[in-house]
Amino acid sequence: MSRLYLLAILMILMTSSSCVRNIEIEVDGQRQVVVYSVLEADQKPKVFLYKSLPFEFDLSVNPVEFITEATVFIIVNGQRIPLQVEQSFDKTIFSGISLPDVTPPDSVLVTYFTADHKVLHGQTYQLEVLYEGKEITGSTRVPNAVDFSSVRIYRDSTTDDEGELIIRDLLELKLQDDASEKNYYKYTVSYRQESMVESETGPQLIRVNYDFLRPFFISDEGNNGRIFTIRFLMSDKVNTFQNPDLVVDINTTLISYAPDLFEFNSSLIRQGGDEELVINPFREPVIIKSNIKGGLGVFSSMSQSKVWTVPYQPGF
Amino acid sequence: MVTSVSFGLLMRIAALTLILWLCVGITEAQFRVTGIVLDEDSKEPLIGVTIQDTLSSAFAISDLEGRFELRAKTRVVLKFDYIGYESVVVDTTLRGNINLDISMSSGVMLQETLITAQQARIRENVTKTQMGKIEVPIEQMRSLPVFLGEMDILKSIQLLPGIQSGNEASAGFYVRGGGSDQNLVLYDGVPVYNPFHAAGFVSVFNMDVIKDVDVYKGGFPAHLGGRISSVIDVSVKSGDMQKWSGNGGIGIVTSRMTAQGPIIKDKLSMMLSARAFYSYSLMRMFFPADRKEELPVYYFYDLNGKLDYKINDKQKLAVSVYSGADRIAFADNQVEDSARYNIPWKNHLATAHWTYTPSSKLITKVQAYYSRYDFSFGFENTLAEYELNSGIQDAVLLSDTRWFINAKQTLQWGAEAGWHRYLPNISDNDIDNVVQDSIPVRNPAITSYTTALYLRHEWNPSTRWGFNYGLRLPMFFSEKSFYINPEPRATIKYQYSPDASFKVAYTLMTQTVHMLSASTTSTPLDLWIPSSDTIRPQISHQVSAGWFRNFKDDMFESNVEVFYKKLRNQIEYREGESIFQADDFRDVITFGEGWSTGAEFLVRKRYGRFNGFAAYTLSWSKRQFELLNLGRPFNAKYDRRHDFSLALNYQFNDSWALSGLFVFASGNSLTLPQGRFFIPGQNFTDGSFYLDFSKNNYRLRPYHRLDIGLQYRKEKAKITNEFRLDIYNVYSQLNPFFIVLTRAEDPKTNRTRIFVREYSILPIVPSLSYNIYIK
Repeated sequence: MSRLYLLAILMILMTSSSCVRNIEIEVDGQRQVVVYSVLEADQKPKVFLYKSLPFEFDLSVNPVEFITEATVFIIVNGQRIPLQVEQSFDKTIFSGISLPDVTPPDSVLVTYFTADHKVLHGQTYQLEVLYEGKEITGSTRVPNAVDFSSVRIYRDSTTDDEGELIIRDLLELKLQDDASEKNYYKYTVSYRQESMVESETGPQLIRVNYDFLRPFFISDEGNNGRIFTIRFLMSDKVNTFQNPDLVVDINTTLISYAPDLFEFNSSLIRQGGDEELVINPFREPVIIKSNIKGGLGVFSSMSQSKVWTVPYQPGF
Repeated sequence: MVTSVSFGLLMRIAALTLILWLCVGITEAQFRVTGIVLDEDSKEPLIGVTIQDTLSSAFAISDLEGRFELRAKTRVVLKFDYIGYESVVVDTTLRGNINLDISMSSGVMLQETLITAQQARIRENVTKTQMGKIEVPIEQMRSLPVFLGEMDILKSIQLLPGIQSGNEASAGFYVRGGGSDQNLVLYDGVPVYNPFHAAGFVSVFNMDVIKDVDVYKGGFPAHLGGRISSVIDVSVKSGDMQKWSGNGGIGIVTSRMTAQGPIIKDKLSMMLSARAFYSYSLMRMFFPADRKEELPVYYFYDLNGKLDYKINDKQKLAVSVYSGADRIAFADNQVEDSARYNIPWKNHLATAHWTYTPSSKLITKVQAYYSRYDFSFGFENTLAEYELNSGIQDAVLLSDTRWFINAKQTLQWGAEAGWHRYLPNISDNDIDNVVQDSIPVRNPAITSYTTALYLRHEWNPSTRWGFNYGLRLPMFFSEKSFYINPEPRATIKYQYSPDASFKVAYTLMTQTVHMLSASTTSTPLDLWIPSSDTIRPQISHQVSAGWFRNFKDDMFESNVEVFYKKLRNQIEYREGESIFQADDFRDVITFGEGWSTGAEFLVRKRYGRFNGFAAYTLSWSKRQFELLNLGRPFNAKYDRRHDFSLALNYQFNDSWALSGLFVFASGNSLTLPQGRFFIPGQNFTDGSFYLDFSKNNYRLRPYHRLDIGLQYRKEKAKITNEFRLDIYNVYSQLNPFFIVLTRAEDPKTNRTRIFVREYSILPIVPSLSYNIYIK
């Protein structure tokens, strides 16, 4: 009996002492220079420079510290073009981030480097940044634009698991590219609604574009040189569109990506941002595929084809 | 079909082996003295008995079967010494080769006997043509402080150089930079796939049934194969053929009991042992009745049994079984739709050994075994249920023959054939949308077959030089793949003085079983999978060199070993993937290679009132995968620069002993963000903030702790009582256990931010245990 008594005391002693304790640790990360520059054929170059943030960064504070005191060049065809600082208000740059203290509402003053130069198809551009005695470089070759060979919407019928007939509309995109090189694309699909509303000046036509789907990234790996067909189910459900009665057309465009931009964006999507790491500790972390030497981010390029507009009225 | 063997190469190796063997046969000794040394009572072979000719100083050490052989002139005075046994002296004149079968009886340990026996056994580290092997000093390990009263051999070997523990309370260990799946843990020759209980606190090896433990971390002899980093060979005690005895122990968390003895005297013996973790049941008794359901369930048990049957003087049969199971179950009421988790795992092993000794020169062993490991992770709440199952079964038949050609040469050959079944299943279901009658399974069972042939030749042409070389030829078959990878092995010894030698070794090892585990967490969520047409066998090339030196009449043993190991066909999860996302595990894995290098130092004082050892390892372990870390090399998860342990024991008198253990290890690598950045206008996710890190870029704080143990042992004629007071982590160091990222409000700023929290689970833990030994 005395042994049991002793055992009980020791059990209590043991269980009380071996509780879980936690301590907060600091991750000693250096703030790095982030480059974000996607050259677009026939457009002026734009290079964003800013600093990365400490990992434990407070989400409710303006997150971006733009760099203005840097020397920035792009080099193309042996020509060294200096870039100058410019600022403008931007409504989309912080898309997805809650910024309570910005003025004017919904837009923010952004700083970037640019030059009076139109980016050329098929040319290789190099980036040189000198900042606080450090050299940051990148390089990209602007891809040639590739367009869809056809875009159409057609009606299809099939049966479900229980044998019931389903009528559905499909958007079909076809493209065929150069078989000799790897090609990477992003394509977007949106729909437009139109409606007439009464205003003080009389009836007014309102056009609203909605992203039909999030941007898609594809490569022609394994399909080189052959016709590439993509089909979208426009859905047989009413809630596909905000207001099916007002839909007038579907818009789609194909953007040719430089390989490193494709890799960069793919890694952003796969990483899923900081939420994923906090939520899912079992998931292997994804490292962002930066092509910047001496910093983070991407210096890359893309070429956009024309926007295809296909008249469409949901038929259900 | 994939093959990687050249027939020409095989023929050349075979021819060279034959020529070498024929050449050395010419130099045979004048007279050979051979024999077997047995325990007088149990008739068990005694391993490591020193047989010394006091006239010529020639000596031999008995092998696994108790056999010995030495060369002698016309007269010999042979002295047989073995720790804990009375010495035997044989004085005889030789007229030809003779065979001596010696029985030794355990008796009073005279100091002289103890020292002599110890000296001879210690000297094996210098004299044997074998590298990277450690014969674990079980008695010395037994005297060290223990955790919760439970001495554990797999935790103890992690104190030795080149063998690293995971982190606190984690299962698995890491040998010379290899992964935890690259260690072959054998229980009486049967692989144990998960040799740990209770999140790694205790292994499945009940100390009461362990006879010997050998650890191989390099210089693998040809008869060992199947894993590329280490072999832990645990032999189980046989029952006493003469008399019944027993022992038991009561600890805070576990208790155990062992009984052994003859069923038919000198013919058939048995050993039975049981161990159970019962803290849960005790705690449940003390818990309030209305809160009993909140108490997490945890228990485990081990059952060991062995039957030994002596068929005749030349044949014996042994049947050994093990069964063990764990279960953890708990409810998480902190989340909505309170979830229940259920995590059981089980090991079941059975083996039969038939040993045939047609002559004193030849031993043949045939073994058949079955091993089964099952693991499950279950989750259930009101919305969904999820189950992950991982299992593996082996059924293997093997034979091994040793031919002691003469005092200088031993030839060993063997073959094995096995059937393996893997169950890397993942299944899930949404209860809300149940349409199926059963839970869908995503990965079906996979069957594979293995065979192996091997040949080893040990040749010691003089006391200075020794050569131990061989070839193993494993083959692997599964539905769509076939692999054959010749594995050459070689060790060379140069003994430049009676107590010092240099050795070098090269080994190539392959492994056709892989463990897929998350690098981000230390959980038991591991899948065992076989090689296939897309998953090539793991391969390691290891080169090692060592200096072995004993001092002060073998009181001190020391060695320094350096190694370089190259690992090929390593597997990991791809970035962004996890075990829970895999419809087919083949879709979420990627392949790469690794390498490790390091130096290991060991100094050991084996006997005397004050004894112990110090071990230090300096090492680097890297991995490189095309699809991970942008293709750049990264630190392996258990890359550890420094690993140091100091174990000391002081015997005050026959009853009281005090021991201490200090360990220090560099922190493990892990991946943590070092910064965050946003991408303008690229709202691919809900956050728009992305993380900057590289794989395993962060290192946890170093791990260190001090343990102290006090033992009191009282021996009586029939019963020995032992009490132990052990204090784990005396200065209550909060060592890192795991890291969690959480988003929470910062009390200083009242704003949301991300916290990196490090959890420690074991501060100071005292324990008291009681052991009884009945003769």
